[in-house]
Amino acid sequence: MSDHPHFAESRDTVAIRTVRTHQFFSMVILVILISLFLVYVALSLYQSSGTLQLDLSRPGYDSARQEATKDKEVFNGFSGDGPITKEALNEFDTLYKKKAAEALIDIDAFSGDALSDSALALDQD
Amino acid sequence: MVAALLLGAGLFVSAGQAEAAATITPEKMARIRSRCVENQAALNRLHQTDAFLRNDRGNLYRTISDKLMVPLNRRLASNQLDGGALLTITADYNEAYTKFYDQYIQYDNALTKVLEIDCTREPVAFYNALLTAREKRNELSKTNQTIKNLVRQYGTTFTDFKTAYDKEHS
Repeated sequence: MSDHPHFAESRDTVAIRTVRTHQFFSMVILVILISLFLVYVALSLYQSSGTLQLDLSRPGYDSARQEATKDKEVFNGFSGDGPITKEALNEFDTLYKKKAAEALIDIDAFSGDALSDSALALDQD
Repeated sequence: MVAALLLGAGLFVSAGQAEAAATITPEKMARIRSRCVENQAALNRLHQTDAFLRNDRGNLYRTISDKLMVPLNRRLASNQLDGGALLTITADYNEAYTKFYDQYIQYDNALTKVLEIDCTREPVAFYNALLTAREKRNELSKTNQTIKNLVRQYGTTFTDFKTAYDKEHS
């Protein structure tokens, strides 16, 4: 009885009629749902890709942001095209030594000591 | 068989947890509570400093690879010169950088977890989270050292290459 085409048609008609009578409202609801889904996807990507950890524009990172914007020097690097000559090798040598010196500067980056019991005064009597 | 394995694994995990928890004496718990505010502030500062350091070091490490190592390797290849040793170091360097990238995410998540725990109310959970963050930080530090060693190694290998080239073309 319920599978009768006439009844199915009348049910569809009610649903379609509701949307048709509230077209603008239905569109607003649909747009909100789509935008919520897209925001969810964007935030998931932001978190899973590791961008979250590198984002210094987050609240509470003012000092880190200020430090990061100090160095705005543009480094063009070494050209990948052209012949290999003594001059080219000397140019690379100069550029590499400069950057290597920056990388090998004596900063004990990410040393475990910063989280040790003594650093947090948890081992004192 | 599976049940026995699961039971064994469960015992192993609980033994590990018990070991970690056993290091937290009542005195240490008291110290965690009394130093809670100062330590939370210190950890917050460390979190900020690390974020800056990660950006700074990360940009530098990427620059060395993308703007120096890779272009030189390409130039050597296009001039039919043997840069095999430099190529191998570059591959190791890029692998180490990927590890560094992933390990920082893990460390940052671990430290964020420490900061989320109220050390006055949950000193044991705080200390266990701190131990995890410390371990992640040590792993990150080791990878950072590996990258620095590869920078040194590439420099030395390039110097050898340059010396040989100069000798051959003098």
